[in-house]
Amino acid sequence: MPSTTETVPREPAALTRLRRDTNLAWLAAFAVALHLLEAALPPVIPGIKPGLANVITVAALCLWGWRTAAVVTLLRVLVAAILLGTLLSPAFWLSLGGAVAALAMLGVGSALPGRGLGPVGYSVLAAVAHIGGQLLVAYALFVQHAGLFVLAPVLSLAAATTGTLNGLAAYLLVREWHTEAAHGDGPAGDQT
Amino acid sequence: MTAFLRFLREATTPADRLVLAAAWTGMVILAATAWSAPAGQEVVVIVAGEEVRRLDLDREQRITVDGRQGSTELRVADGGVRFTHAPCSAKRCVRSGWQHRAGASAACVPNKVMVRVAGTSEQGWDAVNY
Repeated sequence: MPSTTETVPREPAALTRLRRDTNLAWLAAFAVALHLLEAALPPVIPGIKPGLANVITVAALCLWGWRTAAVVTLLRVLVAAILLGTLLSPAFWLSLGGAVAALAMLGVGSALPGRGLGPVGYSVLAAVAHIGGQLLVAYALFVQHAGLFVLAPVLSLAAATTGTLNGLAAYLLVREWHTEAAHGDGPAGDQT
Repeated sequence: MTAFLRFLREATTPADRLVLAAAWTGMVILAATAWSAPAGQEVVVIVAGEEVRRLDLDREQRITVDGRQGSTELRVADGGVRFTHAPCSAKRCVRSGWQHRAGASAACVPNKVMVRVAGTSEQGWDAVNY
């Protein structure tokens, strides 16, 4: 960080806040873009999506903690729904239900002691919680039939697969961010 | 392949690997339990739409049932039921083999004889579409 005087060892609080908000806005924008991209992809198997936007949630959690991840994810769900025109529709509630369940699970996961979880573990947990939350919302609001849960194995197979792949993507993203930040010429992140 | 495994090792913490193992085994267990109907307990024999007999699947036996065209022979053994002889020409009922699971059924349409396995909890659906 270039400074004009030698006697300012810390940046002002307002600048820290600005930096944090900028990071948040960037992450939310990336997440919305991935969400929209995914909505444009043809559904190969109905009901199953790769969940690419969760890469951003997991990366945000690893880089800045749970609160940032939560804000970015909820913003993403809201903004993407507005842009897709699905606000308050079943798709929106399913999306929100999945996101809230995933965030709750990530909250538990990030409280683990020791070396704890990395991006891959977080991503798999989030993916599994996501489909769990979605199934519960779908059952509570739309399809009150136990037959819905026959889908659970298909969906959890998808969750395990996409969760693992997205987790590896998030790992690469976090690693890249750290090396860029260490060289000092990349996006300046608050190192945690 | 080894490069990929090395990458996986580098990308995961021990806790990550635990989560991965739990998620993948849990998925297999879930599929196994959700998709296998419970074993049946008794068999209902239906002739021309009316229940004529109810047999315990645990008791090994052979019975003969009279249908529209003649007599059909059924065999109950090892917790299952099957057609063994039928007067019909196609013998689809005989070829459909053993029926073990609750909700499973086999029928001889020409002779109007049908067997249906019943259990404590039958599945209420044939297929799911959405």
